[in-house]
Amino acid sequence: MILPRKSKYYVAAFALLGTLFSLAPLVIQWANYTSPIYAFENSFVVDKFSIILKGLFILITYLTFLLSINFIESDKYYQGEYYYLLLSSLLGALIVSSSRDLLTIFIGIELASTPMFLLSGWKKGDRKSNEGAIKFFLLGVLSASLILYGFSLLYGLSGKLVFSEISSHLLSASLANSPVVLLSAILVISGIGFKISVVPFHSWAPDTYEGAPLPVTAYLSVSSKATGFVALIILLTKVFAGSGSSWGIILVIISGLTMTLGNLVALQQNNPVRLLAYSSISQAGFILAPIAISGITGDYQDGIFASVTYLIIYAFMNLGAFLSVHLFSNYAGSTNFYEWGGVARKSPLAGVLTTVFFFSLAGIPPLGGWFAKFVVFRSLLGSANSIGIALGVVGAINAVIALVYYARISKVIWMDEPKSINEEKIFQFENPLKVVGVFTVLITFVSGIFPGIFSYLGEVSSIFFGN
Amino acid sequence: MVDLILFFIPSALIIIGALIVVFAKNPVHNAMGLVMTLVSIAIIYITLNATFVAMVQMLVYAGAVMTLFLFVIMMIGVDKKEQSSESIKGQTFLVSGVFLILISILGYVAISSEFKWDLWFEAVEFAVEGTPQLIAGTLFTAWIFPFEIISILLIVATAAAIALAYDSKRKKNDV
Repeated sequence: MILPRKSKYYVAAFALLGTLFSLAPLVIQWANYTSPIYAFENSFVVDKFSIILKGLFILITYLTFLLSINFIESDKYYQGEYYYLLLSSLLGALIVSSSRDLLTIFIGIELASTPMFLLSGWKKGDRKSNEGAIKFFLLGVLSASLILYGFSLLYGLSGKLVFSEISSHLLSASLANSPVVLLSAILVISGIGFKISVVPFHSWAPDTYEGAPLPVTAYLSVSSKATGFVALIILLTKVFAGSGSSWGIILVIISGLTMTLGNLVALQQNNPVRLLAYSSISQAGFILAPIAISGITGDYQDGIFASVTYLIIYAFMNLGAFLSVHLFSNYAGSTNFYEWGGVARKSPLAGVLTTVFFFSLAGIPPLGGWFAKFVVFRSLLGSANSIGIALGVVGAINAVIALVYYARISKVIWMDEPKSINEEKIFQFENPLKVVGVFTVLITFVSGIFPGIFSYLGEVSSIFFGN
Repeated sequence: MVDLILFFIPSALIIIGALIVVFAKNPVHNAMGLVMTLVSIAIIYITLNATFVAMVQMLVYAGAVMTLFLFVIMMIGVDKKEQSSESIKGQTFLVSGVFLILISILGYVAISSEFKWDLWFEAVEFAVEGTPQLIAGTLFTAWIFPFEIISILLIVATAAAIALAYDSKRKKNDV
């Protein structure tokens, strides 16, 4: 608000640099790492698990900033506040990945999601944006109250706030499978279910995704979702670990429903943003599946490893997918992708990027999405548990269904007859967007061809669960 | 002696405030009467050493709830005439009946129990729980991190609400 409009560019540059520099302490922490460091009376921890997730969140935010620069400069938006709010949301995500007590994790979740309520309504005059923001806000508040209710039951039972004290109290008082703890787990799962948009808590997602500015949508579908998953993983394995067989069944049902429903609805979409919204709902089902099974089998390390691997790969390929949707809908001026016939010929680079991202989302080797799906299926089938194998079969059927709509977009942009192509019109592909595209494509390829880089995550998740 | 004064003056203010709420014609005056009652109750809490309850009373009731009342009055408008006819038949009669019953029960309890003024203030020990020192101690040592984060959360909400509510057409001159 203080800076004159022209020099608002500096805000973006400053935010970008700041985000990049904030990676430096993480690298130093990683290099000097010996054992988990606890602070604030065990309520805050720095371990390898949290360092990796913080790196992921910072990279996502950095790429979102790059996506936003040209979009936000189109003069209809407040720039300073935009970057401030995204950075606050990042801070919330960072807090969640390190928090080890009820209070800190709740405030972290809220700090991560509150700015998003407002950013999704950032297109002020736009009806869809307002509608999406209102829906998101109301359901977000409802989910916060559900989480709080679950937490209050835990606090009432144990009188403690720090996770380690709560779980040891639940174990020593043999309360781990009592109905109250189960109710609390269900409330927490439903509350966080809104944040990660799993069925039946997904109804806000398509409308909000469609209405929000596109970089915000990309951030919502990646970082907000990842924050929710991290919070869920921490809570389920640190607090509710003793009652895994109960919440495991619930999560298995949710996960199967989420995959199937998200996919079936995505098949019928013609708006690419809504398609990606439903596809990200179904991807959430895949991310949830290993955690669900690990609850039943008790092998939390494997579940966390598979889920976090999927989460990391999903984050980059989904950002890339939103980038390509942004490019083509900008050019074609249409939000119906069936009218995008042949647009890839106008910019082969963008066309190739789009094909890579969508095929990776579908799980085609040698792209990253393939390895993500492989890890999930290995965890499901390797559990040697009939429920896990059943969920694996549901997932496999869904992976095939998903290929139909992911491939359809690639087919339209490459093979369909060009209708909306205007030789005069320049295909806009600004440099910051190219950086995003190349970076995400690199990660997608590298994680698919050299999946060995993820093996360190196995060690990390063992450390996470060991402490 | 000081205790008695500290009890009777706020008590008188509570009753006067309550009467203003009932009898004043202007809704803003009603609201102000309610503020007077709530603040006086907070003073009584302080004399009972329940400082934390007093603070919450001031912040939540006198601060937040009353602001909401005033907002509602502002939106409806002060000049609206109050509807003075009975919307439920015989409601005045019913309410005064209930009121009389309640008053007589209260009076009976007050007379029949051993009721001494001086007992009240001497019996209250200095309660350790709920004192500002104790709350501040834990708030600024063990829970300093969430405390600081909440401040960021509040700034986010304020800044973003202003940015959303700000009229972009009128800001050409003053940005």
